[in-house]
Amino acid sequence: MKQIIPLLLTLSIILSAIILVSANNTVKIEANILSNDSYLEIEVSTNISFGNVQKGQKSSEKTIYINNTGTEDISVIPLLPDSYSGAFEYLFFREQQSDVNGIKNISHQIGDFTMNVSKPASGSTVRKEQFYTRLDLTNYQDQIFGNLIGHTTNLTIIAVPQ
Amino acid sequence: MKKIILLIAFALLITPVLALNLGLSPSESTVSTTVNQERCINLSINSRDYNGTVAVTDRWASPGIIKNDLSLHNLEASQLDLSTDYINKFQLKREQSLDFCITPRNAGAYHGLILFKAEQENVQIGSWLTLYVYESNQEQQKLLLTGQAVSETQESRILIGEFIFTILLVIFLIYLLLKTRKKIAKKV
Repeated sequence: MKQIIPLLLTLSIILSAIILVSANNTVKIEANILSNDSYLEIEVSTNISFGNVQKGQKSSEKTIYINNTGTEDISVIPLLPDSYSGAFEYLFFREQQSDVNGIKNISHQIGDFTMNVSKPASGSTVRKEQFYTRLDLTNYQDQIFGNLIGHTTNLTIIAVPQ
Repeated sequence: MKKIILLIAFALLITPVLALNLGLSPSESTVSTTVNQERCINLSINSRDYNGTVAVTDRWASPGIIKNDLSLHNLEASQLDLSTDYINKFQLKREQSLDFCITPRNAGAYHGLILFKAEQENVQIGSWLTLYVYESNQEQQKLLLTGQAVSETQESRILIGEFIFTILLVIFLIYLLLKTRKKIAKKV
């Protein structure tokens, strides 16, 4: 037993020396940097396609996903470019598809819709929310000269702290 | 086993594809300065997955309105005699910091929104800015020491409140004086 201990000690010294030499004089350092800074951070789905929508009719409802990954409660507002005028002015949005109080399932036309998304719950890094949109051309009056295939515009999703 | 694989495949299919991540810090700033004195704030924007052009704009509410409500912010800085200086377009590569500088021409309380737009993806995030502008450094020091806000309406409200309180105090003292006199007269 007495012979084994010095043997093990010698072996461990040799191994340590090998490790130190092979490490090429560099030391890997590691830390978990924790922060209590406040910041705004979102993740948004950015493509919506309604397919064929007949004038005088509604499209199917599409979902827009919003993840709040920041530290603040935010308001999310979809807006069209200032210069745009056309069918997409008849975009409607709602927070929920069904609501027992009958408030959050009411659709609002673009420009009148804002959705609040709370910050992630404590211990969590993300608050996942979604809202719904459809193109409702039932009240669209302007003359459309021929089919508008691939009609597109840039819908901007704005997120600001509450 | 096949059912499980199909279920996993289905779950993967219905998982939403989140195309863009965008972050901004600080989300809100409050600064003060004096007339014609430039004041800058530093903002940092980051994205894990967006490498492209970011356009910077700012919009303001009418002077005196301090409220985080986008619909109230329809004015340009120039309409409020606020002179701004910042890079209005840059290429974002993971993280970028930006100095937003502003020189006010008039005293007052201003509330603005600095917006960063990921141009290729049409996502925009904003940071609120509250700016208190004083006529001079002396006024700024005085108001900061007394804890009074810069807004004239708030200042005048405080003065009215102090005036009413003084009058009530005088009335109460007169009442006490009269009461004491009556007591003395009775004793005599």
